[in-house]
Amino acid sequence: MTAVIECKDVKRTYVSGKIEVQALQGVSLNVSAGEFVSLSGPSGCGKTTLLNIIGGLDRPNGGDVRVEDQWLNELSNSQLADLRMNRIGFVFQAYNLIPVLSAAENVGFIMQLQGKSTGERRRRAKQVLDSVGLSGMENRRPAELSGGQQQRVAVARAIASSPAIVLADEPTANLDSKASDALLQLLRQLNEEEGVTIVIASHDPKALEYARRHVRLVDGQIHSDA
Amino acid sequence: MMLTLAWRNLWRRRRRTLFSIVAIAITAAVVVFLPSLQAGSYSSMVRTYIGFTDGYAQVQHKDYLSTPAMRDSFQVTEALRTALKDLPPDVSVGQRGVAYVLLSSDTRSIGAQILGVEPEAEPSISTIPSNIVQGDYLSKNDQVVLGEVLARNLQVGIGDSITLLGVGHDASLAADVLTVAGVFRTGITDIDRTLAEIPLKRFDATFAMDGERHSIVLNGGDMAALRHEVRGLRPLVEEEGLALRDWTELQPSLDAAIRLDATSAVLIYAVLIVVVVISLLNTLLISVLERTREFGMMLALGVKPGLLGRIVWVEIGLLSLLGVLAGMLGGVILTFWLGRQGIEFESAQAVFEQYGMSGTLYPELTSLTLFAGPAVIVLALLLAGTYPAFRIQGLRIIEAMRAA
Repeated sequence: MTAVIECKDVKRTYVSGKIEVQALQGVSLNVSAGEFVSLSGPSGCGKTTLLNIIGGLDRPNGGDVRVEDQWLNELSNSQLADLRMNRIGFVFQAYNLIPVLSAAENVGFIMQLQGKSTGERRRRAKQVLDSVGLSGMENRRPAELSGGQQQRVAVARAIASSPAIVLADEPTANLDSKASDALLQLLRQLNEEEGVTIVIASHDPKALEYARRHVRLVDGQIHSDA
Repeated sequence: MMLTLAWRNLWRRRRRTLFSIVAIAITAAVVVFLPSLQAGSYSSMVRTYIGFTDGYAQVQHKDYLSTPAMRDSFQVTEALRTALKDLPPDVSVGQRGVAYVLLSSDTRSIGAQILGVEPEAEPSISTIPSNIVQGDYLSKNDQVVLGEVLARNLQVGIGDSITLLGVGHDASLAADVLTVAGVFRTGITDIDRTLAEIPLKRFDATFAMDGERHSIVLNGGDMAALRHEVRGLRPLVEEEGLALRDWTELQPSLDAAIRLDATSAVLIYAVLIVVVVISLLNTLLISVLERTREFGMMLALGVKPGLLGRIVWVEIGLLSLLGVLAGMLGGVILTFWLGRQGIEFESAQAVFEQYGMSGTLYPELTSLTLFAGPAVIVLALLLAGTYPAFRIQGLRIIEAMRAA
């Protein structure tokens, strides 16, 4: 199967004061279309850094990443923004919704940036909100939703514009056990039914249960991949 | 979307937004009302001052302004006469002769300026006829009206005779005996001490003018209309080899005083606007900084920094417009209300009297006083808003998303 994500000897070093931290020390990883991959490992092992680099939010010091047919080192910041908008869906640890927009408007936000019509946005927003179990909550603002509901809206936003990949960074970190289960179930359903490639970075052992491939990072290197 | 986001963001901190709007509104109201008050006082000053003698504009010999000599006169050609007749009825026109003479009573002799005027035209050109405090204005050919101080210095009263001695247009001796018909008071010492008026026909005969004139005065109630008519008349006047001078040229010291006052006021308004904008800039910066994490998330989703900057800019634009519109409304209401009531400045009475004005000022709203200040506020805020908008351009996504 063709790899939609290809990481080639990715290195990332941070300088914190006088200390140099090697967050990633040559990570090579291929993810095929339709895979559900979990990135796990102890705190500071490089999960989030790897996810950020794959998502074009950060640039590596060494190596390169290919998303679909684009090598990220060759892209300008503006092209990276376009790639994120059109091909990648993000679900962050904190719910990260735009507080002044309703659930439906948050979901339609990226589609609006893509220039989709109001009608198309509304239809799609309703459809994805229904699919994440938030029927009837389209007009609620984030402050009027529970943590679990907000994270569902974030997932709905991530998939609304039909991205090739969904990157989720600790999506269950702020959720209770029931809401975590429901969210992970939802991600698996999207993966299985819609073929969305999902890469999830998490500490949560439950998250690992839902993924079909487990990549464990230790000290910025892949420790195991099964 | 940009407008929706900007509008809703504005109301996230309702109280802070309201305080900002009030600050902008007060500033806008001040920069509408105070310039209107100044415009009203300038207008009153100009109307009053030019109403006494000079009028809004004058047709003169080209050299008359720099050296007002008896010989610097002109004949009113047929073309000019026709053009003056064709002026709208609200523009009043009067011909004049001017001479510098020695006036003598039984006991005193004093140098004075004599204006030869058309008595029937003069009431609509000058306020001298309406400022007669003793006797009457000119009604007979041998009469003279004197300024109050001049009459007092000559020690003459109504019905007394005075002798005039001067130089005629042909350099001959000009002499006449005139009867005092009235005494006027303008409140402007220079005018009241030196000016006398006689009928133009008498002036012609006394000074051998042979139809020559020193000026044709144009005046009327509507200064904007006068400005327009003067502009239209100028080419013909210049074609005739003459000069058409408006009040700014006729009274350069008055014009300079107004310009100086207006300039210093503009500087004060500018300082006020800068102080308000700087204090609001702090609020704008806080509102941007507290959303750093949200901006980071939006950048992560693929929003370009330029769009974020524009959203912030639109927020500032909306805030400015709301404040400025509220301020303009307040300024207009205050200006109209006090424009009817008038504002009394008893302490500045002496200053106003120099220009023949009363101590009551009436604010006057013009398009300039209504729009100039508020437009500067909006522009200044938008300019200040480029700083927070610019700061967004430098955000690093990962760091921004980690911000508290």
